[in-house]
Amino acid sequence: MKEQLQEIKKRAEKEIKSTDEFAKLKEIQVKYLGKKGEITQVLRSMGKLSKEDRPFIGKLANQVKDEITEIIDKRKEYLEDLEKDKRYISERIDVTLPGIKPVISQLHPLTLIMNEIKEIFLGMGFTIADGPEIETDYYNFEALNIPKEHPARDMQDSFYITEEILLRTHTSPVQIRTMERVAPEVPLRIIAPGKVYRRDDDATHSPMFHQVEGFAVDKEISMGDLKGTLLTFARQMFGKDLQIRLRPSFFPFTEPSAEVDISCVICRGDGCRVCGQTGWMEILGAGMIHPRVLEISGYDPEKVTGYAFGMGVERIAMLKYSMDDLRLFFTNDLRMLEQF
Amino acid sequence: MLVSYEWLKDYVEIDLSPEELAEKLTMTGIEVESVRQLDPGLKGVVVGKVLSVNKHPEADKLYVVQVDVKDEILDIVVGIANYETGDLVPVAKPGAVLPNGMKIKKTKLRGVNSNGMLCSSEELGLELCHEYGILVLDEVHPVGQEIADALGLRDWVLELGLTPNRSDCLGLIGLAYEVSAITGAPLKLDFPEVKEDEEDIVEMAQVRIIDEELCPRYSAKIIKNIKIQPSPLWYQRRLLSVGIRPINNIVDVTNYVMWESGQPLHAFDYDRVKDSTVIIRRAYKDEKLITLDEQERCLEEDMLVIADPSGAVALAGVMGGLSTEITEKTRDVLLESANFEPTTIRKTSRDLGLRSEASLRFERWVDPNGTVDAANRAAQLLARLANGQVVKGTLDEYPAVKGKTSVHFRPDKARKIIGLNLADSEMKSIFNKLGFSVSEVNDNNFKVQIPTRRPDITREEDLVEEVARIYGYEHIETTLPRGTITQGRKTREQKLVDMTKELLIACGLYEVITYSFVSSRILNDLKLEVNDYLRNVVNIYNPISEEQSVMRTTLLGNLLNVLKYNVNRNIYSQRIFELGNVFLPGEKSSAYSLPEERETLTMALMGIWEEKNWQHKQNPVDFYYLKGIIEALLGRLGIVDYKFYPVKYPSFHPARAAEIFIGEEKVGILGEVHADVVSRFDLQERVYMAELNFKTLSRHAKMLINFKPLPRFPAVLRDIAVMVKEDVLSHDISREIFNAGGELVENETLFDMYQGEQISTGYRSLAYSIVYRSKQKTLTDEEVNEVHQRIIKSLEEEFGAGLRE
Repeated sequence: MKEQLQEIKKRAEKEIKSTDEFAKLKEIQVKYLGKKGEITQVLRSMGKLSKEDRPFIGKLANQVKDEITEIIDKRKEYLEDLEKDKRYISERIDVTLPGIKPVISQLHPLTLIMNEIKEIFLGMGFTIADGPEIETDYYNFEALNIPKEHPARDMQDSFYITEEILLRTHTSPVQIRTMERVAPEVPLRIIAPGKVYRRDDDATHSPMFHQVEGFAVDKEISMGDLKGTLLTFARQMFGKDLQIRLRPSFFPFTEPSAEVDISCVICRGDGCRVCGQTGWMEILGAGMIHPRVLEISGYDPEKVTGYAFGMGVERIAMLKYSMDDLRLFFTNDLRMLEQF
Repeated sequence: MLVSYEWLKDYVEIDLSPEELAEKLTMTGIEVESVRQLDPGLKGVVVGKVLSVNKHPEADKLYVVQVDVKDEILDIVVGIANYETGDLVPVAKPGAVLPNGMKIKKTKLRGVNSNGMLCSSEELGLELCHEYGILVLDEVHPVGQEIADALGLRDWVLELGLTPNRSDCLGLIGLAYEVSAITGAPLKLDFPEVKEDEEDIVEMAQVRIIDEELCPRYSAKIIKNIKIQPSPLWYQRRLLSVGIRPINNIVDVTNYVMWESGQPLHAFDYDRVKDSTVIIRRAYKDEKLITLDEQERCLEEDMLVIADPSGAVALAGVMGGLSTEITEKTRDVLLESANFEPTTIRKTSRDLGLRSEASLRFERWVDPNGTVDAANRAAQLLARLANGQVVKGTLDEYPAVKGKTSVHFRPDKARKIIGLNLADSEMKSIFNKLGFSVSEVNDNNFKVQIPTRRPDITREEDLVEEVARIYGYEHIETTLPRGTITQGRKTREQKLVDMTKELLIACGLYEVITYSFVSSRILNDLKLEVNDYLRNVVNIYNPISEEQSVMRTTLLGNLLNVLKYNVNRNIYSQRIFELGNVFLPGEKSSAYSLPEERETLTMALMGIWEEKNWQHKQNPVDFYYLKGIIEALLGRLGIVDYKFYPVKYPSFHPARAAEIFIGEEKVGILGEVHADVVSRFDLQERVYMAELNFKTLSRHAKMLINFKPLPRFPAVLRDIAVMVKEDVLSHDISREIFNAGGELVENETLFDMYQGEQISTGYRSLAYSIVYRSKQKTLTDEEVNEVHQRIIKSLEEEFGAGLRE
């Protein structure tokens, strides 16, 4: 009987392993393990055995039964895997087909730059102020120590609405308006971004452009502080290893005044076409607020000092994005906007 | 201002290279915009001595000239013989290349060998004035010397970008002071003395200043028996190096001295000044003057003229008059060295469109104490270059003498402003270098005397700047502001702007920035009614062009132009917005009232919503895409009580536009742009636009977010489809669902709209999905049914709605 069981197992195993269909597998299961199956037959005929042999054969028969069940299960699993694989292969896609583009967009590059400038100065404790784009002659010129017929008015040809009212030529009027409102309180740390207007139109000038004015007034503000503030700004904007340099200059509303250069962002100071071989690029004007301007705005220049600076946003954007035509910003060409 | 490096060295001993000098000047406040090496390109052109001049044996009009060029003797065939044996002339040796590109080779001309070329100044690329023909050198030079060296053509030109306050550097002497201060190099300002005749100027002429305010000083000298001729070559070459064309010795001297001293001069033909009387007065109304450029000028009363008793003879400080011009016949010269008030010169030169080197200097500021020195210097040069005799004395009207000013200076204040620990003595030494004397010194208080050549220094801060710049900005230590800590943060309005832009970017709209000024035509193109308040524009008085002549009152036109620009570049699908100011005249209560600046948000959509792709068809944008964006924005800004009402507005499709209200307040408009407007902007497709008053929007915005707890009980969903007349508005049905349903209705969504088969004409079917939920318990079917029936009944009653199964 033992031999018979071994033979059944061998036969079943062979049959199972050559089966590729689930239905057939079921048939085999019935054939061997079913109520009338061969193993069952063996178990039923155990009565004929001697009392001694019975437990041994019974155990063996059950063992064979378990073994066949296991083989069937394994085969079943194998066939299932085979089936899944088939399905997966039939579901193959071309992963190199282009993705479906989500509907996305971006802010205007000038807004991006202004946001970056704002972030840097917010981090340094500056608040953001706004002012009107159409200004009085007083705030745009007089209060900034630029009286009528002052030669400095030649430096900026303005758009006038009336004799007394014009499109602001810089964001500096916001400095006066803010100081007037707050004086004599200190400290004051403000930036004022916004549109400004000058009568110029070529590849490097646009009749409308953007500036960010910045200033600080406190009991002890020095030119060293101005240098430090601008160095911090320039490094955050353009990179850690960058240098700045201040050159004496002239603005009616600051004294001492400075033009501020950064080491060329293209050649890192070695000299190239973009920086005119100098290794430096001019990015902003700055200085210590002129005592007359402080006085006009309600501060006592003996008690407080301040610094101020003004930068062109387009200029910074052009440096940062390697663009060479300022007017492109205002065409709003989508092929330009999509690049940011 | 152009500066010849070699010329500048006449006045200060510079031991820096031109580049080093430029760097030093730039870093101390006189910006050098460029340093240009004058490269005459005259290699192989040398000084030759004429040994003989003979007629060409075969040609009448040619000469054979023998010249010594030191290492050889050359026979050269020449077409002109305006020189003699012994003269020095420029000889281009074989192999030389002239500036015009001509290569000099050995040739044979009519059987005679020619081994080079004698040159005119034109052939050397120079605009020197000399007799027609070959340039005959007027000074002794070694034979064989390169002509570039002989004529002193090796020089560097520095271009200064002077700031308006540094008019003192519009003359080389002023610049020499600056160079001396920043380098420590000694000045060389000893000029030859002028030798004068016996005759006294007082007997020959008189000067009367009528308007002392506009003419603070007038000095004059007379030089007699001058001979008009070209100036010496070295002299002409100097003028050329700084861009001044030599004319004749008289004009050249006035220009030379102006460049040297910064003091403009003018030479009158003495004999043509009536009664030898010079009067400085304002012009009479409509007085006429023919200026040197032969233009008749009509003058105004605020212009200053130089006149004689018969009338104006020159425009003071701007341009001379034709009637007293120096000509070939001039014998005696009346030389003016005067000082004029900057404002009138600027105004006159602007009004007449006349700019000259003289007016440029007077406009800035010229030191009134320099007139006599300049006049003497010019007289001395005229005596030398024009063989003139200088008449004794100077006519000098100077009613209010301007003396040195003194400015108080506190070293402590300077240290505080600059943030620099510089000793008092070091500051004093800086002032001395600048030529300012520090007269009274007590504890922390200097009295600094400022020479009149530095009018820009009027108060303490100006001296602080002098200390800082001479010491060097680069030596100022970098610090950060100390004292009270300030906190940087954005205002509510600034945050709202950021939120709005962020949301619109999330919705897929690109931000654009357009000009604040537009053409007034744009308002017609938008079909605005004649009485529309948007037609009331702020005009620019002096626009660059009509295209930019009025301030925008709406952004609709600007955005349509952006669409047009991109469509012209084959970009047909566009989603854009701009958030910026429009300008309305506002109330003009005084001359100083400013227009109203209203922040406005405008959006535009056209084409398809998504980019084209291979997978599915794209939807064209429509009214509801844009409306959805606006609703999303209102939602983000915490605004809930908004409504859309149909409206007719000329720029929009009469049946596809809505006004947007928040509560009772109108906030903007939304719709399909009118086909006429679309075509006026050369667009073909449908365009959807919205314009919102951002000020109103931000006033209603609620930034506080109040979190609602998530529901604890399940919701029950019921759909309802009703058939209503077409003109029943969707939002009225929604409102009725809430009204009739009461507090159990949590939400309703329109999920289908149908018109067509099975629906009677003039009707449409609307299908809503209604969410029922109670805050207290799980709703039973019966409870929901009851409310649902109530809604159906109420829709029937209100709108005659028929239930659709």
